[in-house]
Amino acid sequence: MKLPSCLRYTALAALAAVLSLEPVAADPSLPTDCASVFQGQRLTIVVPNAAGGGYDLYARALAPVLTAITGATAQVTNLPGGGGKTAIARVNEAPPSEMVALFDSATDVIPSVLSDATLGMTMADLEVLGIVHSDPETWLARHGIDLADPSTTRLISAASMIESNLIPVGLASLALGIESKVIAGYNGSVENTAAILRGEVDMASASLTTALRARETNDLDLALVLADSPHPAAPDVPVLGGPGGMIERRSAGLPAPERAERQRLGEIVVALANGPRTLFAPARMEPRTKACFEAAMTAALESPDFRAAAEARKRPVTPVTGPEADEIVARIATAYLDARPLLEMLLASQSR
Amino acid sequence: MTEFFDPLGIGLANVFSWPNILIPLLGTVLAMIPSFLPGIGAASLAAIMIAVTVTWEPVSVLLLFGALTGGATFMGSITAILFNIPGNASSAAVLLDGHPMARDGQARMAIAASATASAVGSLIGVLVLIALLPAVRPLLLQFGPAERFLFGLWGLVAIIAVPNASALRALAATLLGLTLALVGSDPVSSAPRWTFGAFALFEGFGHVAMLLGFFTLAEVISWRRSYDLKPVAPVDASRDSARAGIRAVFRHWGLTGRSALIGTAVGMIPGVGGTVASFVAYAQAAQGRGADPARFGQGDIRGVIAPEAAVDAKDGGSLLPVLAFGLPGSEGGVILLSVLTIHGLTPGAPMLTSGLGLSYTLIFALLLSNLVTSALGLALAPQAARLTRLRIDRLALPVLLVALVTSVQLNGTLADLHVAVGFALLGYLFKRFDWPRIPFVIAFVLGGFIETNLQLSQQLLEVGRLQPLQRPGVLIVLGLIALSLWWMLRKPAAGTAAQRGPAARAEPVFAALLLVLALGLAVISLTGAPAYSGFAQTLVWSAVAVLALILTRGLRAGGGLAGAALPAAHRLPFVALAALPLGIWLLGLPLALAALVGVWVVLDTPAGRWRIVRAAVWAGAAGAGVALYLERVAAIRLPPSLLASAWGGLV
Repeated sequence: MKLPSCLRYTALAALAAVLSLEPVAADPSLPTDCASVFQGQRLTIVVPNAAGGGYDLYARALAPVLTAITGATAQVTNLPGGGGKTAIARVNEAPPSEMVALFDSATDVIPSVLSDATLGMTMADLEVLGIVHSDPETWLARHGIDLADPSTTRLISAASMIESNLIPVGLASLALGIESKVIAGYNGSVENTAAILRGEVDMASASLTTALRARETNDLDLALVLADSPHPAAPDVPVLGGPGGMIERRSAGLPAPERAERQRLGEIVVALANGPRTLFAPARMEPRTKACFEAAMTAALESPDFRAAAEARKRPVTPVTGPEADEIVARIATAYLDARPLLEMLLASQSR
Repeated sequence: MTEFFDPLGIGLANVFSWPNILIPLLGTVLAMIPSFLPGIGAASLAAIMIAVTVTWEPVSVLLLFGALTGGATFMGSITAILFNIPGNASSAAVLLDGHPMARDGQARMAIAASATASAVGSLIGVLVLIALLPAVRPLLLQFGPAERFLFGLWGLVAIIAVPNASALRALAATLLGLTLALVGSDPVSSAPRWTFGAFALFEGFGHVAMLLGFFTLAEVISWRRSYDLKPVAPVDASRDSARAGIRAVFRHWGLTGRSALIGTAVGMIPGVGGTVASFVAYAQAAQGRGADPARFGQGDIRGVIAPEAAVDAKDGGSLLPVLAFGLPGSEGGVILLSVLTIHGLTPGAPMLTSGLGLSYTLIFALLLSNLVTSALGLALAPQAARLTRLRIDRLALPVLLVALVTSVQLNGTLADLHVAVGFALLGYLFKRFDWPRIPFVIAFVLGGFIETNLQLSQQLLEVGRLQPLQRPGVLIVLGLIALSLWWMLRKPAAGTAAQRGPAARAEPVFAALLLVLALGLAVISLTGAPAYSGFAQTLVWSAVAVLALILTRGLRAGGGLAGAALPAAHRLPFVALAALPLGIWLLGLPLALAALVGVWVVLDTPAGRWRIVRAAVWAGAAGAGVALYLERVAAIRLPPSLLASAWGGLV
């Protein structure tokens, strides 16, 4: 009897996994004193979504690479709830000796931390370990929506919550001179997409990876990328800002101050809608532990094994680590603080 | 016709050929592991399998994931029937009648009926799926927020008539269930509602934690020293046989078919889920022809058949939105979509045309898995039924520990344990004071679903994107609601006050407790925060009004404190559970559970020189077992207790 090859390979993989329970030596590229830090330890990546989604797939591709590099056991914990705040609180409250990382979009984490006083923290409580990939937001729309057409002046959008829609739809619509009405309460991107298909709404915002996948079914259009230059993964799709962008096209003929104001709004949107999928560590982690954890995470993010594992799951990887990653996240935080009064005004006008 | 039959043949050949068939069988076995044990996530297991199967051929992957989708459903019902522990949220409806049957010496029959209903439901679901698949896309677009809202409302209307001696108490329980379902955040503004600043409550009370508390832990409170409980009836082949269970499913073929169709329809609606399917099916079973609502909840086999058929039929339906539009309706669907994407399979039109053979492969693997689990369930029924011979008071501690650890394992936090404990106390009091638990639970399960879809429908009406009377689905569900209302008006209320237990005389005490709870929530809702919508306020103030009426009536009828005291044997578990959150905060989970076990064993052991030693051994074993399990198996790290922090500070 010959077993299917996939079963044979799986049996071998299971055997290898069992054998790998034996402690593995830490990667020699890590600082020398890190081996003792990792010995017998567990590394936890907290994902604020359910298992099986995009962030979870990345995290599960990263965990075995971290295990191989550190010799410690790396695991993924899914902690959905509270719009990601449950996971933020879990990481923030971790004991200083625990090696734990939050994996979420910086554009989701920053507004939560800065606007929700009940979390009782600031961005100084989180440190950036690295960015896995940056994915701009897009507008996913029903067929027939032509944003370049000046007669397109009103759109109805689907969203889970009004707050999360403020930047990619509310502010972007303002920049385009389009009146947007949000129907809030749909349960995530799947429900948003279904609402467009049923004709209840015209569009919804979605990350580029999600939107590209949705477009493959030919049921929906990718109407706009919230960037200021064409994205390599979607070169044919119009962009919001920059030269030749949709703002420029729709505001041609308007007085110069109004054009400039719309461009300014567009810049805010582009700054805040380019979601870096970021790994954060609690700032109060013990310094030595943190240094080793960060070194291991940097090595894992830049490892060809991680790239191969993520890409096998159809997840692109464009890692950014070190001061460059800190700078990207700090820039988003500054842009958010600058835009906050405007966003609060927008929220008041869109809420009941 | 070849366009239809050729892909069907490909699907059948892919599944039922050697050695391919090994893959779905392996998937079924894998899926059973978490299904037996609540809280060990089936989704996490499937997510791990994504990594394992990255290099597999698409057909092999579909065979495995079809089986993982199907096999995860039925086995949770066995623990629900035997031990009152729902293996997953959707098997909670099965315990309503399944566990009373097991206590009445009919465990074998209940498990057999459950397994058979599962197989038949799954088969019907798959047949409907096969028939609809080529033309499913327009159909799926008919299920919008308006249809969902009315569907939830139908479930609620149907259940209000289920066993109760007082329509007023059923109404109060329903309103309370709906109100507690709204704890979390407002679906439109996403502003927190009745969360008291706890992030863990932003998504509301977890359904599994609530069900574990309300049924399992609440039941355990009354198990200690339950020597006076009616013993399990001796095995009597004429009353308890697997064959009788199988036959019952076919005797109630109309009910089985209706429930399976409900499950299939629910499965087709993304985001609704098996819990709603099973409870709505249970509710309509109680309204079926010849059904006596008073028997439901007491061990009526129809209360086992309906939810089981619905839950397993749902699996087939749930594949449709993923295959047709790439829209997953559940965690399992999200994983399946990831799998399709990873292996270059495009959901949507391609999976229904050129890839139809692969779609059927997935469907038949799911069917095979469901049939295998049912066959195993039937085979295990006689052995499993023997477990009911164990003395119930001896089961109390193990079940208590399993349920508590499970609740922590759900999301790796203590919040779910607190939810489970809170609902355990409430559930015990519901039982003790003879209040109807089923309307409360169904209202709780459906409450958030109803509110979300009502609010979406209102918004769509405002912007002119919804014309309800032009939607066939809306008209059909409105017809079902009208039928249910008509049925309710014809049926007299079940039971009388005279049939209620002695504790019912103390009803004003319980009504007053609930009134304080509802009034507290109602007063908070007056703060004017946007989360407290008109819907939320109407519900909570209606609950206050109905509870006040019940209290007044009870006092007028001479009710009072007499009979309110808990039976002596129930006091320790009740107080211990109530104090557990405090104990965990002080000592940490393993030590707090060890203390609970120690006290329990001391009080249950006759005085003697080994009494303390025995208690210490059991307590140590329980504490060490829980600590090791959380640390090594479940890989959960809980926040340090006050004691640990103080010790750390000293060291």
